[in-house]
Amino acid sequence: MKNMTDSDRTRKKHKQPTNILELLLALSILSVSMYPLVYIFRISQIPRQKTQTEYLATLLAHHVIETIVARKSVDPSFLPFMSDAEPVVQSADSVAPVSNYFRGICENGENITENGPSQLFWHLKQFNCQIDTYYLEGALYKVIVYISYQNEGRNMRVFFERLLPQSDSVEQESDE
Amino acid sequence: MKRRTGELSFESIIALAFLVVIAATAMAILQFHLSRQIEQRVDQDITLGYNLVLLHMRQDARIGQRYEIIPDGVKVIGADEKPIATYQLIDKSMYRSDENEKSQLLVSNLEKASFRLHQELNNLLLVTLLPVDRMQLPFFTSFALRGGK
Repeated sequence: MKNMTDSDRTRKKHKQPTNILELLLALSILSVSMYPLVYIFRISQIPRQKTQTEYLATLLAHHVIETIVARKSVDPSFLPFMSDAEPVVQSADSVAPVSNYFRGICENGENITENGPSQLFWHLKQFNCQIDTYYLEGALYKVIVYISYQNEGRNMRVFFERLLPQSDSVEQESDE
Repeated sequence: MKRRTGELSFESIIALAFLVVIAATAMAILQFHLSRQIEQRVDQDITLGYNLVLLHMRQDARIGQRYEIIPDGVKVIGADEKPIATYQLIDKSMYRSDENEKSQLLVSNLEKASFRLHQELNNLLLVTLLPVDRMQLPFFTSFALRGGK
């Protein structure tokens, strides 16, 4: 009987560190195998804010391109000029001028301000609009519209580009 | 040299890992299935409705000759003064009706829909849609008439 108890104790003594090792091994393997689960869950979630911000930036770029198209249609000699990144709304904490394409677009003919449609103001406040232009061969003029914003500290931007004729010949276009 | 053994065998650990991977796969299949159900996403994502507005208005503007602003809406008029489509906010929902008077719901739960011509350019329509839920994304863009060019 005494022999049996001694052997049990000896076995327990040896068993304890083995169990901890096994537990650690199990945890490590399980945590690795959990990664696909977490990854799939993460990518299956709609990145709502990011996608919607990008979507709104695309709408703003579309607005700028359409304004250029409309102006070109009225005045065939019109070519848009280059501009730095400028805000699309007028806010009290910024002295930078509002982008030319977003001036006077409120119903009252004013810029979008906090006092205007505040819902629109707060959603658009994060965006800046920049225009780059290039003279190309074949009497073409390339316009690139950048709508930039910050996402988690990173600078993001959406761009549309369009080819315009330098004269009032047939218009060629290319949106991205 | 003694071989140490515990209560959890290596085979059990591997089996557990496999079970987790199988669960992950099942979850991926479920998510894929749910993402295919567009109807469920319409209520969750307002941009699906906005896409319909964008798609239809771009098509109508391509052939439109002029815009006619109406209360809470706009008419796109084509060649020979023939109306191409009408967009109107009715009971907080925006509808598009075409020349056959066929009406289609584009976006619901809107607080306000504004259609107005640009101050200097009467061939440019500015569209603003503000959802009832102020946390939702508003819609703002423009549509230039191409007149079939």
